[in-house]
Amino acid sequence: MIEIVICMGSSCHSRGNRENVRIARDYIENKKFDGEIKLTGCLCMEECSRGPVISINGKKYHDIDPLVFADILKNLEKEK
Amino acid sequence: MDILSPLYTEKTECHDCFKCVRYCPVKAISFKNGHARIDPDLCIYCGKCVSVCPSRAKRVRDELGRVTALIETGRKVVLSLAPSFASEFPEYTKEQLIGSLLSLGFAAVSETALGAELISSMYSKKLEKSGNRIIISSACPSVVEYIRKYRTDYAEYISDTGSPLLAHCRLLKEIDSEYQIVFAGPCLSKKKEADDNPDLLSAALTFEDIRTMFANRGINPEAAGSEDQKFFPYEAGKGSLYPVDGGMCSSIEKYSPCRSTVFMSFSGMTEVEDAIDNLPEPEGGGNIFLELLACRGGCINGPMSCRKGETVRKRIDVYKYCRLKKDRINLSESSSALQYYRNITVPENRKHPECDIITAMESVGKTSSRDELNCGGCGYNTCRDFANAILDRKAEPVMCVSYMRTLAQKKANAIIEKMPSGVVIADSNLTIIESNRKFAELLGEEILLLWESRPNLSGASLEKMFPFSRLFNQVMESGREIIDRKIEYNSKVISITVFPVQKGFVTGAILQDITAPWVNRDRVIKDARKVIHRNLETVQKIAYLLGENAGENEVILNEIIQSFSGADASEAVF
Repeated sequence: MIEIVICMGSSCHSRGNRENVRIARDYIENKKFDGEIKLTGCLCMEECSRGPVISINGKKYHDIDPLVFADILKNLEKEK
Repeated sequence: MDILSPLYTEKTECHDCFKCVRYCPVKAISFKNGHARIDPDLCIYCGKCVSVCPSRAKRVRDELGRVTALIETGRKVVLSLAPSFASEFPEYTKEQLIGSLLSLGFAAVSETALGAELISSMYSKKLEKSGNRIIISSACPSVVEYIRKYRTDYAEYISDTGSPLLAHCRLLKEIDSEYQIVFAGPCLSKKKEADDNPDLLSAALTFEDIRTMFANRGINPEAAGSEDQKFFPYEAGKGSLYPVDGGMCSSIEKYSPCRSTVFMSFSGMTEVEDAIDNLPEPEGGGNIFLELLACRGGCINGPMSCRKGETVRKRIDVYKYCRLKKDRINLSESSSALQYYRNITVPENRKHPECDIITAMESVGKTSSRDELNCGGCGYNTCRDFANAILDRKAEPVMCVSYMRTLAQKKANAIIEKMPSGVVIADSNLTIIESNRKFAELLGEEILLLWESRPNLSGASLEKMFPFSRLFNQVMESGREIIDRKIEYNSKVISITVFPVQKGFVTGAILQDITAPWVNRDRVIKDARKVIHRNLETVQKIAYLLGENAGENEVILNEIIQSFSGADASEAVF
């Protein structure tokens, strides 16, 4: 299972996680492999200055713009 | 998702001006609720809309984060630098530029022109054989996209050599397949190439991105250069002429004179369309080679170049840089570098039946050919094209300026005409622009006659017919309205409200004869009071009769009870 946690604190939200949520949802809808993806939001991870922050399977990604996030998700697909 | 597309509209910045539609050579922009959206299936990524949008609402996908992330992974990232760098960064030497790009974290800097060399040498071999073919250059991805999507009949003329950038990517991957290749240049459609060929090209940056990266990292290229910086793996030759129109033809001719071929170059989408429109059948005069570039003057004027205008200077910069270059370089022949995927995806034929077009035209008030103004206000060349776009759901009726103007005028006219008050609108010279019949009636018999001969009284002097025109002057100057001022005129009391329509230029007024209505109102009130009074009288009469009746009945009933039961009569009543 892939677990994606998107920080929905106000800073991360306005820095780009608002779009990133849409990208994650879109990705889950159109994913091309079997297997579960758990998408959750969380409150401030207290790393606002390096936001937007997203954690994938426990690994934190900082300063992650929508295109980079989409690339990471695409790579997840390849690994599967 | 729009923001992942190479080109998209920032909805909140888009203020329905339709300029992008007007300039879009393929009308790939649709409007919904007044906001533009670029249809990726229709777009050819020429970037024209980015340059013309007055609100800067057309956004190009930012790939800086992608490139930074790629470099951070520690992989060897090679920068493929477009040859137009010579006109984009004339202030730096080649060595300074390479040095500062390397300090951004790129493993090597290579010239995209190397790919151009490969393409030129391939073309020269094709064209030196005599023949009667028409060959369209495959160098400009936007032109290739245009022909593949819109001029499918000519798709077979496109050479199968592919684009210089992809040839360059393959060349680099042959050196080391682990290389991650990032392009930097003035071209927007390279982003689309990256999307279509992710295994070859990881990202496409713009020259502006490069400048941003320098600024963010505090790199001053003037201080970064050292003499030993060289392009990887070797320098390109006259392939560096590609960013100037005609450059590709000259580069091919350096490889072989190709005497049986006529070389021509056309740049800018209008020229390109025109060239393809009137393409003759090859008729024995030898091969015809067409170098077609989407940007006027070539890539040096690409949408993502920071240096706008200065076409001559930019050209000189490129020529200056190429002067020292070898005419050709020896490249190992590599067939794999030159494959071209002809996966043509053609948008469905969007022709609508005549009856639908007529209905769509009627929906914007165009019922005869005289109504077809073809003004281009909506962004489409003709009303017919616009009707087609409405049927494609790409355009909305509100985009038709003449229709909206007529509609607004009709609405205003209807309201003014049906108003129970007098209305007059005048300009700063107190010349009447418009007035209704009621207004003329208030001003008396003479004016009414005038109104009937000249409806609206437009052009007449308000000052001459209306003694209170100074109120208009006041409002015209101050911009503040005068509400409900009572004036006496023609033995009537008139309430006048004067308001600015456009401060200093146009003023309007509503006039109401309050004398007549007051008489009426008094009578209504009197009559109502009379009714109430009468009602009360009736109720009182009824109550009196009821009471009298009840009393009499009680007496009779008591007498009956008494006559039957004697003593306990009073108890029986209650």
